[in-house]
Amino acid sequence: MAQLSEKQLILVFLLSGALVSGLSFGGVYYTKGMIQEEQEKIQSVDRQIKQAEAKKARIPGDEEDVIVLRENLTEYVKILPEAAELTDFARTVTSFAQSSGVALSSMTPVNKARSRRSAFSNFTYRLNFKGTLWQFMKFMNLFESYKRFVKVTDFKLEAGKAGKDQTQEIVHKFTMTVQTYVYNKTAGGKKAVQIPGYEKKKARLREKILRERANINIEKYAFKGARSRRDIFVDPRSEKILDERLKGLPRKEQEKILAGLLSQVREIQQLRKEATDTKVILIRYELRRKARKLLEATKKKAEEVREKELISNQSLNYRFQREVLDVLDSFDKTPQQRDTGISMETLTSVERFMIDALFDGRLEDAVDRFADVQQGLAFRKGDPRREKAERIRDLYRKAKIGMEFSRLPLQITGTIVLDRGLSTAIINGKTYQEGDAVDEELFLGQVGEEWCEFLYKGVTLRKKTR
Amino acid sequence: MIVINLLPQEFRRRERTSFKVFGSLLLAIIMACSSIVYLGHIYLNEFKAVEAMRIQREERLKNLTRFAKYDDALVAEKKEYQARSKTIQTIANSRVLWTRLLDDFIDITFNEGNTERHNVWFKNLDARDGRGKVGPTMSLQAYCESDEFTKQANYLDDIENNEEFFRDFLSITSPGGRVVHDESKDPSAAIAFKLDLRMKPASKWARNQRKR
Repeated sequence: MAQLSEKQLILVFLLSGALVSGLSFGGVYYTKGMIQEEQEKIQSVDRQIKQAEAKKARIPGDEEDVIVLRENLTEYVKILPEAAELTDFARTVTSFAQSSGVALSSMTPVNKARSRRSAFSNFTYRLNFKGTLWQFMKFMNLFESYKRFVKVTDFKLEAGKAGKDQTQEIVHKFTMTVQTYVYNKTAGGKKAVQIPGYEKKKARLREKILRERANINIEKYAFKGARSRRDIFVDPRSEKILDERLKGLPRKEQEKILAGLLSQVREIQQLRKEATDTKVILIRYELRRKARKLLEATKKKAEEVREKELISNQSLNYRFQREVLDVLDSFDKTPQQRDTGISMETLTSVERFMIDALFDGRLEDAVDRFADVQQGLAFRKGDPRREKAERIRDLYRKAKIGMEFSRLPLQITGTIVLDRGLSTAIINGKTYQEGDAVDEELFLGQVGEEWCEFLYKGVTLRKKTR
Repeated sequence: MIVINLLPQEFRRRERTSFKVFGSLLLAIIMACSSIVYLGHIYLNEFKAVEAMRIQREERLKNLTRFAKYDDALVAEKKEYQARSKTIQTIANSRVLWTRLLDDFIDITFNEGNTERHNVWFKNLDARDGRGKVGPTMSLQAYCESDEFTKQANYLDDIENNEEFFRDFLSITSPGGRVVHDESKDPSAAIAFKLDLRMKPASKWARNQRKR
């Protein structure tokens, strides 16, 4: 230092000061940069916090949705066959064929390989068979009303030709493709999310679950048979018979005969109506006499037409049966005869007996009583007994369902009845809450201290605990 | 002029740092200190405060991430289940009840045995399921007794006017065809025509509309 001059010293000091300050400002600049980085990080974290908070707020709603979907999906997939049932499908098809009467010639699977990734695997079979139109309709209906979901995707019909025996129904050739699906619960390999307090939340959402369940409804249809209809895949025109002796009347003639009979039937109906409407006894008597006379003449003519087979055309013959013969038959019967003769008093007593029997659990007695009157429960529209008969039929249906229910292996070993909230019952060793499905068609209704109510096939039934 | 200090060393005035040197030293120290203090302020006050805030937020985020992941899992499951529900709904709701359809079709064709209005029969039937926006179809080789096209028109009218049957259909063949004769039959004349019936896509069927 001693060698440095004053000027040099000043310079050294100032430069040192400037250097330290420079370094410090460098540090400040660097720190500011770090602060900015931190602030950016904070902003990014804030954004993530906002998103996470929004997600947290959504949890109750998402939990609800998942519970509703999970519960309903479990219900939905019950309509689909289980994988193990598929091997039985061939047996099912065979039994359907036997029951409907079609002759099954081949059943070819047109499946792709099962995919583990997909939740639903479809299984398709192509069936080739022969049968009448009505046998085919029944066969197809058996698939469409089967407890498991089976879809007829396409079908072809090739009309058969009439054989020598004209009375035999014509057999057609069919190709039909049926498809069903199997649900793969573990598809994708993901495990279901564990929702805390699942059962409680499920119980709270019971109504919503049931409401959403209405979104799926498998329509079924009960085919009621031919019902005197002609096979539309058969040419309804009559064969021209060259042998004059066997030749029936020309169609125009047949139409003329039918028209004549129909006009007479209408005339009788008119006379009878006028007789009922008039208040003058003499006129009524005269009208009824005329109607009787005309009825006799018409019956004679109709009988002649039937015996001589004057109406041979299939369609005209159907109308002859339905619009002439059946109507003439009904004229013969008194209103009492037309009905079954079962009086309102008898019906009321039957109804009362059946209600008591159902209440006491004497289901067989109720079924037997119904069998006694079953034949006479057909009443015309507007008849007050018709409504009573419907109620009796409903009671019979309940009795049958009750009998079916009594055969179900149900063991109620305990109940927990809560004043508030859903009561619980232990059925076949498992715990069920009110409203839970015990089986495909069996739901637990109200739970009492010594009994449980079930809803089975739309009927409420009560069973005592052991 | 030369000045000679003859005083002994101990009596001489001490040699002092010049004011300029001192001033410059002081200035340098002030500059260095103040800049270091400023750096300290920036680092310890501002940076550390911001860093602490970031750590706190990260901690909060860590706590929330658990819920977010739970919700993500719920949403993923919801999407998967929604897709599955939709699939099964589509499967179930797109099924044509062919038995009902064919039963109604037979009723219309049979017309309660009344052959005055029309008398129709078929040689074959090809029914196919629809897919997506294309509805199911029914295709038939049809014959209508008589050489008058009125009866055929009556038949097509009866199909179209049957609300129960036709409500889910989109189109039907227009009247037309050729007159064919089969001398072995009475009457021998019939109109041969192709009957094509096209249904609406499943989403537009009455029963699926009601659900919405």
